[in-house]
Amino acid sequence: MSIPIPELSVVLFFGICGLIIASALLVVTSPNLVHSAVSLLFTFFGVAAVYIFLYADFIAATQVIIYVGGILVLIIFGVMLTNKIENARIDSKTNNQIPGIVFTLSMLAMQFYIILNTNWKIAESEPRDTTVKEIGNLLLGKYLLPFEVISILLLASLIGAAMLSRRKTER
Amino acid sequence: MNYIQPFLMLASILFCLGLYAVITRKNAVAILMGIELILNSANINFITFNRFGAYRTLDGHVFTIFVIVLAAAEAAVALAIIINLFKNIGTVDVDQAKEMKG
Amino acid sequence: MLETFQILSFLFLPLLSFVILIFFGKKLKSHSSTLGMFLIGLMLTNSIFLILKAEPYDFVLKTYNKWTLYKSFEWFSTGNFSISLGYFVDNITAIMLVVVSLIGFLVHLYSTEYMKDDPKYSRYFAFLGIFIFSMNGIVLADSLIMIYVFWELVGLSSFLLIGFWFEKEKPPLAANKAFLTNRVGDIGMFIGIMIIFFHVGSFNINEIINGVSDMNKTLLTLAGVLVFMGAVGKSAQFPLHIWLPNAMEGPTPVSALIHAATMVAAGVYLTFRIFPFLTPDALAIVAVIGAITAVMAAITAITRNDIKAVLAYSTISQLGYMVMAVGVGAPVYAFFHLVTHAMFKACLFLCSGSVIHAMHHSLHHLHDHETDPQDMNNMGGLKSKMPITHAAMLISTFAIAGVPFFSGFLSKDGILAAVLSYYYKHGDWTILLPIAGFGAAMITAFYMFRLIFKTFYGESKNKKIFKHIHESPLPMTIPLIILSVLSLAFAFTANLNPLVSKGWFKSLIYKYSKSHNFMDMKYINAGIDAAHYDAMYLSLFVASIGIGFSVLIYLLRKINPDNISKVLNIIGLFSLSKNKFYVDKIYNFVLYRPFLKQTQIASYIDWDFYDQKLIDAWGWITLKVSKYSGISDYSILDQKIIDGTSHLTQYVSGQLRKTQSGIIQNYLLGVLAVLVVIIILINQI
Repeated sequence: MSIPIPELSVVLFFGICGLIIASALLVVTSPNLVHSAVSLLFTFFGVAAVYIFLYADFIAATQVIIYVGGILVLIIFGVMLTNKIENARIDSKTNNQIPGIVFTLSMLAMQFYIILNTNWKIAESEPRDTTVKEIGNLLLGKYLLPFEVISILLLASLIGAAMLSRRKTER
Repeated sequence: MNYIQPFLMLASILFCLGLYAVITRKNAVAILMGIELILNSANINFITFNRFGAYRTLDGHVFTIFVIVLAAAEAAVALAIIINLFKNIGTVDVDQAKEMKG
Repeated sequence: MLETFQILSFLFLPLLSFVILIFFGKKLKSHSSTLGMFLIGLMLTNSIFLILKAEPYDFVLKTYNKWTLYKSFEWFSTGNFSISLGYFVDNITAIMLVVVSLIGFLVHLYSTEYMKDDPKYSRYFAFLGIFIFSMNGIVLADSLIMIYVFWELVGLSSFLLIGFWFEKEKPPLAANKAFLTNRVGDIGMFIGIMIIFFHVGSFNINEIINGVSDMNKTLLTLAGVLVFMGAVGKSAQFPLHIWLPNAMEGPTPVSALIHAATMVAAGVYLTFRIFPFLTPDALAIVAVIGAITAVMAAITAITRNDIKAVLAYSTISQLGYMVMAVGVGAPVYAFFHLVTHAMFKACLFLCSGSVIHAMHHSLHHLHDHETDPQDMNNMGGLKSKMPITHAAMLISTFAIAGVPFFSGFLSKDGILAAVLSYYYKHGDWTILLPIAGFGAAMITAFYMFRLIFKTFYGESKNKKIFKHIHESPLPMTIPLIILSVLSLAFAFTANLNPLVSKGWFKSLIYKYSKSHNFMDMKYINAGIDAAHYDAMYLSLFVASIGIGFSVLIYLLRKINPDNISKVLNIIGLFSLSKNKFYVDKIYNFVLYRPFLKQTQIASYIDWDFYDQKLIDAWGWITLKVSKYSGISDYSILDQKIIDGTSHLTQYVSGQLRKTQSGIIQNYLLGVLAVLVVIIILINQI
């Protein structure tokens, strides 16, 4: 029984999966927050690559722009702002480690069990040239109202964040 | 790559890692990172089901966009809250913020 | 509407007087009497207008109009019966209103002088106001229950006025005695009213008169006698007459108004109103009680030396006459006597007040506080010093003694005729009634002239006092003059012939001799008319005997009263009189002493046995039981069970408290754990 040579895409896929899982593990376990933030960058990139495997080019681009360019920068700002400068080691302790591992693993086991034991009906969809046009049609057509609502939410959270973090004026 | 399971398993692993971070990390920023991981796993699921499901349209993609927007908003507000917390109690350790202790 | 207002003003004017004087009397000071007099004067004018509307019986045409003002409104109703209040005004009411208003007004006028220096001046007039208010209420009432309400109110005002000088020793006791004695009668009256109400279903007097015909006769007799008991109490009839002599502790004008002219006459008025439905048996009881009272009080009056006590017993005696008259079926004469008696007895009381006033001032001048100003033994020869008082008192004494040309003759003659005809008709034991009537008439003439002679004639007993006696001032003498004029027969008949009693007054009240539920009044009236001349001659005869004896003993002093008393004492009459027939002593012996004894026994049982033995034993047992109960309570229940529970709770809550760490991650972990368990469980199924 010879071992079949896997396709390149499959090799690539599992490589990316390994990257994602490894970097995510580092995010979760690294005592140094800066390390966590940096490895989170790799995770996001990996996830963007997975999107490409799923023919979601626009989402992949969005992932890179927003997560990597926006949220991650925000998080790094957070890390910097919330740690005292004199505190040389920017680290993070953990608690509930043992029960956390136990329950998370049992959760994972159950999810794997479900995933592997479900008879998935898979319909093959044709690869598209681009998804942007269709997403644009959906956003301004079928999902116009949620789109507007999410816009207002974004605005509200913007104002809320500004309100929350501004310096308290002395009374 | 015509299998759905690897994608779902990846999402599942990401979810559990995020959950682990949320539960165990003391630093609020680290918890925030865990939440981002969870959201990413959800996004992967959306896209996966849209890809393998018998759908002609790209509704899953739209929802993913919504989730990303939500994540951005959530990150902004959460960071604002964390900074506030830091201003008030001088630390971002969540177990220091136990005013609600009975 | 105007009529209603006119009638109700009889209630509101005196009530207004009371309210204003009780609240603002201190500020009004001496003006309070002016205000009271103004309001009562208004009422007097009103009552005169009212009586002018009354339509008399026409003796020539033998017709009369049924003039009545009647209005009733619902007081309250429960279920299917309602109690109404209302007024009922007929000739009788109008006359009573005039009497009350007139004497009330004169007493006000008199009191301005008599009560001049009293510190409670304005309160006195306020009390007079509430008395007149409640008296008018009785007179105007159309139902027994309303009469009862105002009946209690006059009792209250009588109580207040008898005890007016409450800082002295005797008046409060006298007030209590009057109130309590009246209660005895009032309870009977209330039971009687209720018996009638449960059979007729109404309190309204006219409805009762129409409705009692089918009632059990024995029960109706009982009810009638019970209602009459109220009159016995209020009108001081035997055996409840004991309060009236003590009531003389009040101010003399009050005695004139309340205890001579109006309130005590309310009992007679009530008997008059209920006369149509009193059964012959009940009427016989009424007559006997009246006769006993008349004789007994007259005999007692002979030996009184206190000028007011003589008048008090005289009042009881005269009220006995009236009650007896109703009892023998002559309510018209009873009412006639009520009015004439109101005039001359008020006059007598006011005269005695004038004398007492003069005596009091003289004693005050001499700084003598020991001598009793009311004792006739200290008077004598006052005629020259007090001519007006003497004249007024003489006129009213003639009236009460039953001398022709004076009002008392007319009414008393009628009563005696009725009593005599009652004997003619019934015979047998009823001879005692005319004997009592004529005997009392004789004794009345005797003791009244004794009073006159001892007070105004002869030589002064005490020269020092005599020197400082003066005639009373004008406000006191004017009422005397007015009342003595009204004691003349002419005032009631407008006829100079003294033997004819028909006149404007009798024509106003004549129709009330016509109706009775169970007796033929025509027959009775004919009997009275037939007995008229017999009675007249007899009464003239006994009156002259009484006056003659009095003249012999007290004016000419031909007979020593001590000898007479010795002769009379052979049959014990003198000591009976001297000791007021021992009624108070009998009550003392029969009622108070056993009552005291009983209370002592009750007290002994209560304290020595019940309290000391039973209660204290209970206390001891309870003490012991509670001690052990306390021990078990504390050491077992409290320490073990209660504290155990609380310790357990504390421990459990302490453990549970740890879960509330406030660290959100712990909570989240819990959520996750539960989620895992739930998923496992779902998969199991």
